[in-house]
Amino acid sequence: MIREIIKHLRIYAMLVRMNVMSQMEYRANFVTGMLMELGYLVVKILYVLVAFRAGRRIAGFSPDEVLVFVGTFVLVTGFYAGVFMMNLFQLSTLVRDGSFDALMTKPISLQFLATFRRSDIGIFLIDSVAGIVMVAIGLARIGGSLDVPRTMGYAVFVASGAAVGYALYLIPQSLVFRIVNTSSIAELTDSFWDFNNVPMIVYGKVGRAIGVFVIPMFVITSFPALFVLGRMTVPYMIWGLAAPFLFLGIARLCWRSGIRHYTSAGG
Amino acid sequence: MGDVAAKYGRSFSIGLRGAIEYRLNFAFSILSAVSPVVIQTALWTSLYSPGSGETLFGFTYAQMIAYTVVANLVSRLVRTGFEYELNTDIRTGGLDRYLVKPIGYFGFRLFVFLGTKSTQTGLTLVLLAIATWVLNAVLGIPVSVAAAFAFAASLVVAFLLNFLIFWCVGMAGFWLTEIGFLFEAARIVIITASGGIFPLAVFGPTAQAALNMLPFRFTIQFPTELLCGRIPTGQIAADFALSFVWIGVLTALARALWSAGIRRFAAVGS
Amino acid sequence: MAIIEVDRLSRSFRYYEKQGGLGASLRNLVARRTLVREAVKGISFSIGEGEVVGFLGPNGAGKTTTLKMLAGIMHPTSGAAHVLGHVPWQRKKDLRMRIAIVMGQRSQLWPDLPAVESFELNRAIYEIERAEYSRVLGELVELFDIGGLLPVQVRRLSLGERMKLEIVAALLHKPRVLFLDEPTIGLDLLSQRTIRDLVRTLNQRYRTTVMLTSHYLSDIEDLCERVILINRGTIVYDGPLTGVNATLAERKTVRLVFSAPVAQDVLSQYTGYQSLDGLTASFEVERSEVRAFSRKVLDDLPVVDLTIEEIPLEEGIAALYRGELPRG
Repeated sequence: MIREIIKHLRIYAMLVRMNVMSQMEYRANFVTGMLMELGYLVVKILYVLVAFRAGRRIAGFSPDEVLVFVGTFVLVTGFYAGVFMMNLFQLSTLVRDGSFDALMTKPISLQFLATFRRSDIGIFLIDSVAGIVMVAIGLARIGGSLDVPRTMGYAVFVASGAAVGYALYLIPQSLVFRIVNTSSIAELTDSFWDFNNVPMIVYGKVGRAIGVFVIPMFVITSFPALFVLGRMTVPYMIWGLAAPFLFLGIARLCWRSGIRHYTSAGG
Repeated sequence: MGDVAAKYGRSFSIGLRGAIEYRLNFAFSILSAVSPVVIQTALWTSLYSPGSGETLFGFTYAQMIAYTVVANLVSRLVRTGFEYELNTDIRTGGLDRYLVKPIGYFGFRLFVFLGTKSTQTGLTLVLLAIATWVLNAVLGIPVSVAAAFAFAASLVVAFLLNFLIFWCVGMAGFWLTEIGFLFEAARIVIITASGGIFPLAVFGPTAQAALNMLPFRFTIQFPTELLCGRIPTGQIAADFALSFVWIGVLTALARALWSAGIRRFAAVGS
Repeated sequence: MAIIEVDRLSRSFRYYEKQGGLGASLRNLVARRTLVREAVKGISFSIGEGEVVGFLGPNGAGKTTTLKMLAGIMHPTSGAAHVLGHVPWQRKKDLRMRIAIVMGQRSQLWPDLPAVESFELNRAIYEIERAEYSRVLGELVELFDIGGLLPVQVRRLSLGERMKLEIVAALLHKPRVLFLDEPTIGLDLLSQRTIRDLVRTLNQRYRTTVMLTSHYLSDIEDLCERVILINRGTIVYDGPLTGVNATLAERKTVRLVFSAPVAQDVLSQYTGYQSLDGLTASFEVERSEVRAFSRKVLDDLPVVDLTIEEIPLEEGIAALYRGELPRG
């Protein structure tokens, strides 16, 4: 079991390296890809701008705290846009051109190979660096120290958020094995990602409950931010640690069901 | 004359058919316009103090919500996508076909665009009608008949302008090979500059003054503010005049870029 | 024990009817018709170790579908199969470590990188020891003379070179079974020959069991001692190649193009006359007679162009159906 995990980690390192090398062949694309991500970043920061210019608290959070929220959002977006999103949204292309079949015959987790093949380190770096900088500035302005336990806890919740994000986005994309063209589902769910652009408190009690427990969008970025701002309750902490396991399990089930359908219905 | 109409009619039909085929896709596409509205409405709701009638960036709460809803719908209405197909035509040399055909490439692209738009427009206009009713009944922002007509006129301008803007953006494909991300980056910046995310007022008075001079405002912000009755009657004519000037300027730019691009295409190939 | 055992394997597909035109598209919005296509109908065969078996048939015959089922990519609708003792569509890791698949015109190599990078990835995926990997790679490089190709980006190579590397990539882990799906499709004649040589060599050297699908007879001719002919989902012939050759390759189509019109009754005097279309006439001639025939027509008739073609596969298969079975 451990050997398998190590094997997959080693292969992931190789894949990242191969992706970087491949992207270096298309320098213009690499640069414009980062420009595009910067464009998205500007829009995200606009929300912070509005908060600062309005000069007031958003649902009890000061503009600096909002900066920490949005910074966390940007950081986790690095995982979304740089690590797993493009694989999930390209699944239908993979299935349609037949390349998916070859992946199925390899002695390695199909889900792993299909969902982590590609990565874009440029985009990942832009988002993670910008995000961390925003969080650091926000925390510095608020004052208070950032000690090791707090940083580690933040990292844990960021990782948990990324995992939940992966699982949540894999679930609808598993439909690619039933309805081959999932590009519109991709577009729809992609638009949901931005729900995290504002602190989850603004969505009201019902919205928050749904977004935390039913479709845990807010676990992805609001949780780490709440934690590092010292505003996290114990129930949320427990849920924040349990949710990734639960939803990764659900995503795995959906994936396997999709594969079963693919191999039975053909295509 | 009838021949020409028939040719353009076919282009229209191609766009229409394509849109119907992807029925579910297109329904989802409309749905994904809802998310930003929800997010921004939640943001504004938490920013404005309830029931105080205060203004932020020159908007009352009701006006800001109205702006958010309508701007998002208009943004969806006027958006393009043909620049990618244009780029594919340049890349694969498919442009050759159109150089020989009697129907000009520009005309072809424009009418396919309008054809695709007419299916999407149908539903979006229904949504807009519902939104207008909401504005009227719930938010207390009445929409006069005159405003509705002005809005419709501004929409035509918006379609043309957006087509022209993205046509010019698409022309970059003649000079740059790896263009996909550039289009997306341009689209985001243009939408922001058009007031599609937040009204241009959030950028501050100086920035807003500058942005108001540019053509982008007329694709989203101007139609939206017309419908919400935020443009003083005396200013409407002047604003339309500026938009016409921009249509002229962009058409000239589009032609210039096309000639330069085509020359390069013929010489260099794709 | 056979390496590959197939018992009454069947596979059918459901699909939706599609018609052109605006009216049909609107109707499709409301209701769609479902049709069923039986791609594979209860086929059975077995393949022993070291055999190179050709799966031959026209397009849509069911070859690729059968291959996919044996590679574990697809479940059958009914029937059973075993590859190396495993049920392929259960996709056990043990089986996946010991088989390989290469599909024509579909690349598993990363196009923007030199092939050797993709090889390294395979090394990690198939858990090949570094020393063993170097040894096998060295052997394959020498055997197939690909040394010069390794440091070049895959997308810069020709189709034939790319296919060679695809097969090498599939051999690094020394699979016991190699599935090749239309490996020579889209390749020029020389590359086709090279690929065939490659497969023959690897079979001789490593005793790899090879199952190859194609709709080119020449693929099978060169490589396979045994051929399974499949048409419309059923096996029409399963046996030595010589038998098939006898029926399919014995006769050739000779096409003549004239510089001036030639009357039909003149042409019908030659045995094997088939048809006349403008200035082009077709004849079916026994392979052994082709030379004599060609000399005669070139002397007698105003021929400007002469081509000798294989009888299309479908006709040959139809001939088999008619009972013109091979002798020994």
